[in-house]
Amino acid sequence: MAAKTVYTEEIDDLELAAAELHAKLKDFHIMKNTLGIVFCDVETDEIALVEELHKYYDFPIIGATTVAMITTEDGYKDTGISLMVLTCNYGEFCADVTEELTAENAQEEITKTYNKIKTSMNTPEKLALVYAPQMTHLTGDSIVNYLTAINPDVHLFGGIASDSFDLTSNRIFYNDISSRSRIIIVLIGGNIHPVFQQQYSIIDDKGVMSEVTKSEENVVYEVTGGKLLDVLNLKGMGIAKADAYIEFVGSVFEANIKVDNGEYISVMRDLRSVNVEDGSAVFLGNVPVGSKMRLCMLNKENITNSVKGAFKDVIAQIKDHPDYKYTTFLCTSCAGRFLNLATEPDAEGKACQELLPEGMTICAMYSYGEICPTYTPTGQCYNVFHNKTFTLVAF
Amino acid sequence: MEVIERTKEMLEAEIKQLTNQLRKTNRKIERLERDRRIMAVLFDQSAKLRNINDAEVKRQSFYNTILLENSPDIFFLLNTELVVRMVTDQFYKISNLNIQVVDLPIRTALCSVLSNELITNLEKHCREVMSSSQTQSFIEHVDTSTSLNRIFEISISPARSKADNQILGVILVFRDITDLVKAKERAEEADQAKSNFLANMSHEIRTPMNAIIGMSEFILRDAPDSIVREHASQIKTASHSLLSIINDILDFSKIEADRFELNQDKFSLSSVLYNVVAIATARMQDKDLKFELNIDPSIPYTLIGDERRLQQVIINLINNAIKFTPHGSVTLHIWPEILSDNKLHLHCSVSDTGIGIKEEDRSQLFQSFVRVDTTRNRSIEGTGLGLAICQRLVKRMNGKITFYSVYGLGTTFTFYIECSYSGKETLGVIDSKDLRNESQSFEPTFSAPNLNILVVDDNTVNLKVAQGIFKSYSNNIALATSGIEAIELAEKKTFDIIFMDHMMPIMDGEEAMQHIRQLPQYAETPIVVLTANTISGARDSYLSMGFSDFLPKPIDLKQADAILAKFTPVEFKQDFANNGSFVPNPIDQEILEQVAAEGKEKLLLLPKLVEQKDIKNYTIQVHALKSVAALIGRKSLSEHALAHEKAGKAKNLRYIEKDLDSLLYEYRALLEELATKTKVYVSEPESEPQVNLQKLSEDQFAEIITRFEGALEDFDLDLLTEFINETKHYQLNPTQLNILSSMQAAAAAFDYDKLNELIVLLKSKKGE
Repeated sequence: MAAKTVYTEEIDDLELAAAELHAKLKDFHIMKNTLGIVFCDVETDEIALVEELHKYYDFPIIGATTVAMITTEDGYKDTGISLMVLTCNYGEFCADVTEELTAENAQEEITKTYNKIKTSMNTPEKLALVYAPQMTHLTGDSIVNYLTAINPDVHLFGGIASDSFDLTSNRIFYNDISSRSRIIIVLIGGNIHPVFQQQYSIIDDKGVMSEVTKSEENVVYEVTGGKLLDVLNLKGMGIAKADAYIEFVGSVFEANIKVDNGEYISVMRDLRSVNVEDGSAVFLGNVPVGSKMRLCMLNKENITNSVKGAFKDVIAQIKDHPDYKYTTFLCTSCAGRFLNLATEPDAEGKACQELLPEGMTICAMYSYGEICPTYTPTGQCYNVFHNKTFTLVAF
Repeated sequence: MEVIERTKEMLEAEIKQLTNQLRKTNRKIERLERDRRIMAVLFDQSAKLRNINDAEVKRQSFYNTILLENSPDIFFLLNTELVVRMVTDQFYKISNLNIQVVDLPIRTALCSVLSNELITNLEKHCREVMSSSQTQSFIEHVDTSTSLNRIFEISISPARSKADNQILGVILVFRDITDLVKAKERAEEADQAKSNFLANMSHEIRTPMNAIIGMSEFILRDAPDSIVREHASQIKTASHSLLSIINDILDFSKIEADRFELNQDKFSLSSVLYNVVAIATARMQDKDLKFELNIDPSIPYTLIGDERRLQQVIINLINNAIKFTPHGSVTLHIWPEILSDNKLHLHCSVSDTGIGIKEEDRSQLFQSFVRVDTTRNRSIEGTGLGLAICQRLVKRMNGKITFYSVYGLGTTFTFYIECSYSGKETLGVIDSKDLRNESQSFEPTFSAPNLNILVVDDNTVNLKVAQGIFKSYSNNIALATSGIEAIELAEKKTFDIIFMDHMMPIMDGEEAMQHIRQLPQYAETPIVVLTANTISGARDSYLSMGFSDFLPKPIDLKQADAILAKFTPVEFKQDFANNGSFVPNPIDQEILEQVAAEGKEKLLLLPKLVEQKDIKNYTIQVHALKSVAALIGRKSLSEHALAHEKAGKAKNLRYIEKDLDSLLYEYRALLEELATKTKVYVSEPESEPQVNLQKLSEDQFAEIITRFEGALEDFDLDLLTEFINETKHYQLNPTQLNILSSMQAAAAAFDYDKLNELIVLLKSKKGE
């Protein structure tokens, strides 16, 4: 398998943008099975872009809008278009998009699309890439759970499209379809050995954990001590605005969530909005009853270290497969993390460029939720939806 | 037109470019606005969180103050010049000082409370703590304003700045540990008492245990019924386990009480390995395990140290390895680390492929009475003392024990001890197969048909057993039942080796040995003491008396072989003359007959000794009875005799007199039972002349019966016993005497029903 990531800053003149990307791919040999993955600024006309790209290439193109991106040669960019081309002769990249999803049909539609893709494949799937828009009626956890239920042995990686922090204009696209309520699934088969890692970075102030006593999916109503908003108020973290994502962008809730083998895994949860009337809060990920959560500050100083940690771990895992040639890093990092980098927004990008092994390519998007497998303390692997986390897959 | 078209195209392109530039500029402005907004939010949020943190810091500071001021300890914060920067109120309470000591040098602050010498010492420690950054603590006796001679633990630690870790001074903490120290002393005393109790109890339990083990071996050998043999085998196995546990407790108690000395004798590691392989092989019989030896051939042949303790540690570790290894292998590796011309570290490791040790259990592995992973190891028996004993023994031998374990894969225990060595000869290559072959059966390592052996023991059963063991070596075995008889025999004939019981009536073993040593031909003759006293240090004590060596009872075949091998002159030794398997002379019919015959006399002797108030000889007799009874499996009688032995040692004649009939009753019952097996009948006390006793008239007899009945009706057994004793002063026939003895036993057992039956029986025997 081979892969190459190219980038253009041009998002207004898409003919020019496509021409620039094509020029940068000039020496790259396209093989039998190929897939294009585009991450682009939310202001890009993605349908026009795909149309321009299809003037040069006939392979399918998937993509998502993002607030910023990281590429092999250009590092961190807060606007523009990145294109990663995955190509091979013996493996498979089979992609499709679901129908419009509602809370009611989501599981059925996701299953249907997955199975449809699977039927078209000649080899068993080893990895599933998943990109979705940020939907109020469907959480990232639900998407992960529905996909895991179809085939628990397949690792999931991907994320939720982001925008300019209005949380309403992000979208995904597949060839000529762009949507705010569909998800893209890519199944990758053949001889690949995906390896993962995820890391977050918080200040461990050893604050008191509150147990969630009443919640529904990503809405938390009550914790030990009362209604969630009352407890936050008591702490001096009262929220005046219903739309709280930005209000809480510098902090994060750590949640210890029980998985089905009885162990706990620690995940980050971003606050999206609050309901002042019933004292509840909506998070970007689920927080089940019984989870233990506490408010933490993001550790700005340590953000790049967490990138380095994830890279080092994945590189160590790569060494366990000396007979397989790894070419590709895909990365999803949280949009909130880059906001916290403030005056140094390219810190993660620089770290990625610095640690990227020679001969490999990387493409990263900043998201409103990251999908990546996670290991429990005893080494059991679970597909998990994260927030405020740097996630990485190599294959 | 063409020009217009071209101009139009150029203008359109320019407009497009300008539009794009405008879009980009607008976008940049929007992003800047967004970033500004976000920065404001972040700033606001961090301010909020800072406020929360500040409130938290204030709260913590408040709590810190409460904590410090309410602590019973005294805290001083001193700067680098040793000037007091802060002190808690407790100092003023305890010292009764009215003046503020803050900003005073510590010397001035404490001058009215502590001695000048102690303050100087404190200052010295404070400076050391600042230069080394290491906390120091020590204990001092201090007289406070409220009480004298309080004990304080004084701890001095560096006070660091949180920001740059720089040392700003020291924190001085005075903790009053007087009560703690006293409690510790009390606990240690209690612990000592516990250790003593355990040691005593364990010792007492060992004697009957040996009998149980011995008897089960006889049943195993003699019983034709396979079920009986199976049961006996189980008894034997369980007894060995119990004995091993008791030995552990006894040993640990001695170590804890520091009542053991390490020997510094010459030995060869090969003899240790011989025993280790024998025990390991026996233990592994029912397991799918391989035992591997890896012995460095360069280990010096002659080592100097405590062979028995080294062997104990190795066997303990190997036993553990076998216990916790279902299959695979157990490997013993021993190698030397030469330290000088006569000193070395002997390193041993015992590795297994067993279940390993969980991370959380590792810290308590060497603690006494702690058994790790009890859920999983419930079926594995033990006291939890083995490793604690090993650790203490290794430490006493100037060594260290460590372990490495991977849970699920196995464990390696490694230790070293300091040893002396002499000579340049090395151990050479040791093959475990050779050791294993040697240790598979109890066969004598040699024979000495012309060796003259004398065995002295007042207990004829013991004599029989010893004879049975030694006759596999020699045909010339003489037996003596007293020290005097031994001396007489020694005067008449020259013996090559003498085995002498220690505790004998009239003349004990030590005295007899000394008499024999006076005889010209016996100055150098080996005289080995036979004793059940195996307390650590006993061997040295016997050697200092003049005995040549020490053979514990019950006699262990291998130990006996080793002793004989040691003292048999080379010219007497022959290679195996013995073709059959080597087994001790059984406690068979002959022995039982001996017990029965001896009993006849002893049954008469015991009351006589009591009557004569000859406590010393009475104690010797009941001591022998205790051993005999234990040997033939009569635990109850053995314990009863032990109680009398103890009473004898304590000169408690009252107890002996009161309980004598009960003991005789039990003894008589045994002898009667033996009579049916041995045809040696217990003679009725008719042999006891009753000529001087008054005859009973019918009226007197009736009156006696009435008194018995009255006492019984009132449940007054003391009175009843008194009446029985009075009745014995009349001339009675043997049956009547037997009934009276039985009544005494029944009274001692508070058996009112039995007493009633016996009185009725006695009534019916009035004319006989």
